[in-house]
Amino acid sequence: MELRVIVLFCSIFFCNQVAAQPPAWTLQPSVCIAQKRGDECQLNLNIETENMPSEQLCLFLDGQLLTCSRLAYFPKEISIAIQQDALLELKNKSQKVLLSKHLLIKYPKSTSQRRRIRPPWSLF
Amino acid sequence: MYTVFFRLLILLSMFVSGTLLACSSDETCVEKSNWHLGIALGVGVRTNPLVDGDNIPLVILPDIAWYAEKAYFDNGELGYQWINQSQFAFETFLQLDRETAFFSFVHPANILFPTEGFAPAEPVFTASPVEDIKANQPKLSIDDIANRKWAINGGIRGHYFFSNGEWQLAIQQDVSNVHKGQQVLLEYSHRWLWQSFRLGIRIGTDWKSSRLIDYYYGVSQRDSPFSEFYFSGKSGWQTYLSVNVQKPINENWSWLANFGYRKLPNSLTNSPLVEQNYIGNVFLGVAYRF
Repeated sequence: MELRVIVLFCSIFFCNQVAAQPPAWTLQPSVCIAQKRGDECQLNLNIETENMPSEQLCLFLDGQLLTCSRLAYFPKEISIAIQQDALLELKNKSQKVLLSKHLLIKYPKSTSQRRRIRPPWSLF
Repeated sequence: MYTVFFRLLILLSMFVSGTLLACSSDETCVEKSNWHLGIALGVGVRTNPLVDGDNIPLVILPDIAWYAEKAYFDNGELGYQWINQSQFAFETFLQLDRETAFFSFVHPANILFPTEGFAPAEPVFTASPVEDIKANQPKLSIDDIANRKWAINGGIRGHYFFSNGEWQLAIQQDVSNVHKGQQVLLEYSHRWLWQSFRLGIRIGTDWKSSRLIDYYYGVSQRDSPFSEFYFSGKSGWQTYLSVNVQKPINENWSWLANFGYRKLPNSLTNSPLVEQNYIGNVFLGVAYRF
């Protein structure tokens, strides 16, 4: 009897612990390098998820719907193109934001040197 | 002849190899928004193919350039580069037509080192010296003819870069209404390192239109009342080769040597104003980069 009570207590306790784990994800990479401002930058995102709810979830990029799927079919990889810093959000059916991630776009430092057009010492 | 020339160009671009020179610290790279100044002192000459034309002494060679992100000034050329990629570049530009240099007193070289001969304002006919006359061909001295004005050319130029080589195609048009002629240039250049020497070679061909050739080398009533001298210039190709060698001494100083040869076409050398069928130049000296 005591054993049953202990098992029941533990299962309820650990169940609650599991249910309390918030969903989480890891997105890589989250920084994209473009040649110059205004260039489109392609990001191939790898997505790893934890503690995701089983309901249908949708990915939004700056408010634009990208894709929807249930946990079992949730994409492990997604390709997106951005032209400026963007916000990727994961929402549930009731439009509640469960997760979000800022995707950054960066540019190489503009070089201070450039190629000469005419050969040196060519005045005459 | 031109088949051989183009074969040579292609072979050169295929087989000449060496250490890759990227845009880093050599003279083909410039700091943006900074004046890039250099001066070379030495001995040299640029031959003048004209009758009584004085060779241009080369004692001081300046090197003046300024580059912004797109706009630039480089040794007398003012331009705007619309495309500047690793393999391709394209620009539009304005530059003085250097054809006048052989006729004119106000060539930069002549300002630095004035030579004796220049064209008078009014054409004066004098009998050409017998000793200067090529076989049975009458000659006029450039001292006897009308002034040739400076023209300004507007042009477009494309570049294709690969490894240490570069192809260049340029089209120019006189935009100053002086001769209203055109010229088209096709050039291959290659540069490489050999021990501590920086070597550069340029080989190309320059097509000049009949209007351009005729304005400078044609002879008509404007130059002489004697019709036996009259000559009408035709379009022609000028093939050229130049070699540049530099050996750095320290951060600012380097040894500098330039050699060049340009073959003039018959459409120009048949002019009674011309007595040589080539233009050669040589310079040996030291260069200082500020």
